[in-house]
Amino acid sequence: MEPNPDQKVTVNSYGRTSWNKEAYAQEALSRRKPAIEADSEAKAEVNAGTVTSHQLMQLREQVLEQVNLINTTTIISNQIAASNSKRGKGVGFYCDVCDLTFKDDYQFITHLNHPAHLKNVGFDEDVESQKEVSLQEVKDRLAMLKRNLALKREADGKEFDLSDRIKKRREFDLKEEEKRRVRRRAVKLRKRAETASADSDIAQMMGFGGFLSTKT
Amino acid sequence: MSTEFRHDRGLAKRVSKIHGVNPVFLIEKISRERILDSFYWKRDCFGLNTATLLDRAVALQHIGGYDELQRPTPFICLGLKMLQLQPAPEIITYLLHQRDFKYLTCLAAFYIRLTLDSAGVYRTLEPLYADYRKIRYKKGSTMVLSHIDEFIDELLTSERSCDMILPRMVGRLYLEDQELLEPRKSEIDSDLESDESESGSD
Ligand SMILES: [Zn+2]
Repeated sequence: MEPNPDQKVTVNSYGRTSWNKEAYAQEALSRRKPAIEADSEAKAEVNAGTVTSHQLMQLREQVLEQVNLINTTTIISNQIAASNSKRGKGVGFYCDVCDLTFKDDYQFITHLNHPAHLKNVGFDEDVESQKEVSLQEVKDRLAMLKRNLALKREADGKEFDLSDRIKKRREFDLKEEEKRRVRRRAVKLRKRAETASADSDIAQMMGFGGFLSTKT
Repeated sequence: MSTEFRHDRGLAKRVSKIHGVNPVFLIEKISRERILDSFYWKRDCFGLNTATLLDRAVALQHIGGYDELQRPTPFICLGLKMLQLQPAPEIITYLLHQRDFKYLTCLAAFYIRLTLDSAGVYRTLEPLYADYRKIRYKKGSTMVLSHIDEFIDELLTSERSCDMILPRMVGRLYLEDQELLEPRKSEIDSDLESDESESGSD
């Protein structure tokens, strides 16, 4: 009996089953096609908006704000706290580009530098690092940094003043001394109280506690 | 290439070799690995170019190799970054001689010591024997007060600096014999000469 090209499974006259492989392959391919096309479309979308190094650094600064929040407290819902996987938003540092959550800042930053993340952002390191920096750019940058520093000093209100520093230090020392004195006094008081109570305990044990008679 | 990448991370790309090797090899492997894994490197050295590197360099507070927990200092992290970026020689010279940021001068001096040949190192760094600005030098758990001229002396005369093994240098006298280098004119000599000429005119 010849296999029917339309039938996927045929049974011959001895009852042996055979499978039409071409038909299965055809079916599998037609099932996969839409997925492949969608994938390549998504990739094209990402690569279309290739970001520059400057944009990336700005984005990075924003994301790193999370790390700067270390030692602060945020209230979160129970449901989020219960989730245990990296995927999706959870407790920890969240990368919204890749939709991943990391448990500590070190892992998080490692992820931010990772090629997979950079690809998702649309940043091509090779293109960016080819840009040469000229001497003039370096000079301008340093001049700018110097200006910023001067402005910051001005904002802080004063130049470095040694006598002022010494005065502040002296005040600090006095305060520390005062604190220490208070602490010492507290310890002394406590010790005195302890020895007093210990005395009375022993006295009671020996049977002559206090002035009251124990006889009835 | 792929196997090379697996064994040595953080190689510099599109740069010319120095002393016959990829520039990052001038920092020994163990230090390099520690730097690449450090938090400062990952957070603050990522994606820098020669211009943005300066933002970090002017914020340096001290020089040195490792702290007491064996974490690399920002100073050597930026040193490795510079090796990766390989800035043009005129930029390095400019950074060495600018007078606004002393730790930037140190960084440039360190880079020059690692990358130039012996004669070049003597020629570029010796003038800095006249730079007496104070610097903080982290040595393990302690912070030591030092000066730029002391740091330069360490770079020129010892085999190690900032917990790094420095490339071997040819002796100065040998270079003078080969006429690759003029005898050094010390700052003290010029002071003495001017004193003499003043006293002579009296
Ligand atoms: Zn990501």
